[in-house]
Amino acid sequence: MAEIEAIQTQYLEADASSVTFSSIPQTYEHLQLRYTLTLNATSNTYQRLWLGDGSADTGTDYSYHVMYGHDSTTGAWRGTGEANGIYLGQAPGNMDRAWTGPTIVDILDYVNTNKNTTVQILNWDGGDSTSNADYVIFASGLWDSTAAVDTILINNRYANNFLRGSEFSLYGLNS
Amino acid sequence: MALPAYIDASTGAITDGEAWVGIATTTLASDTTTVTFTSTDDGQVGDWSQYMDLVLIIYGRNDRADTGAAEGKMNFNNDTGSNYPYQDFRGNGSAASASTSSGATYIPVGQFIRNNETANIFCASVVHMFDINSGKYKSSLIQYACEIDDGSGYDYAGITSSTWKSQAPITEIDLTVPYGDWLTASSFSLFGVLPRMVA
Repeated sequence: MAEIEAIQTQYLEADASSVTFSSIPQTYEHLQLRYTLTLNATSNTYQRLWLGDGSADTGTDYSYHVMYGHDSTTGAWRGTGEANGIYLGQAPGNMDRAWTGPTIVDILDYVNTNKNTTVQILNWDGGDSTSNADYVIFASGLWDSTAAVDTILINNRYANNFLRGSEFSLYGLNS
Repeated sequence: MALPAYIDASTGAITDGEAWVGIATTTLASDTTTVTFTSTDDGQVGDWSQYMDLVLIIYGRNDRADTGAAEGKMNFNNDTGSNYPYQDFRGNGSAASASTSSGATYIPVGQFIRNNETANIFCASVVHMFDINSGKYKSSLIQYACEIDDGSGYDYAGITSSTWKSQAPITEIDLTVPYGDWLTASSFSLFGVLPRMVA
């Protein structure tokens, strides 16, 4: 088996309210989700990550820590017992539609039923340095469940649609 | 046109499922001003038109006879215009800081130690370039680490993000350092990341 395999790429040919990867093969050690996203919106807003076994868990089973650089400031915040999933960072919505924001999410040991699932996130909102954009973040997230992950759901906190042309790719990693 | 080795010529099936494809590695035999990677146009592994993303790993040092560290610089397709807005976020052991630019003429790809510092130390950077063949602007995420080990405050771990304001595919990458060259033995490895389009 290859060490890094592409499981699935979803290229949005029409605007979509969310993206789901389901029936994820349970044959890898870790997963990596890579995407570039633009919102059909008038402002930059953030995405949420939901995990599940059979279907996405949309309960209050998530926590996260975020640290960021924005303009010349730095900061950090956290969320616990979150009903809004894991914070994935922002994507551009207030700029020319050619702008896009990239994100990498590493989902570790996702089939292990003796461990809760921890993820780490790198994200940038694609900013143009002239607005309230320009957030680059490094974050951690926890799904407080020992269930295996076979479903990944990504959506926008404020129900903004993902613009067509956005692209999501899921990879499986083995040693 | 010849098919890449990972495609079965009789069936068209992908025989090697590796999603990260090693494109090229350059280890410098002498001090070098500019390291360049260029896409081929032959459908082989060096042809970037087949990849979703590129990943570049740099382990480098600046040959300038000075202390501290200086950034590495990356340009695409010979574009040196003010088309690279970026946001940087770093820590140096005592404080976190951030900086931004709306009109940079290059993408900063990390900090690289200068040559009057302790010998044999090189600095690391991993550069992710996204959706390189799309009609969108091209965004990048860079993680870097530069440990000088002298308490000077030039030791950095950080993240940089950038957008190249061009809708052209990325077909060339140029890497430079200010006021000097890349030092001999600096290494640069480029990978292509394949998509998997399934119905």
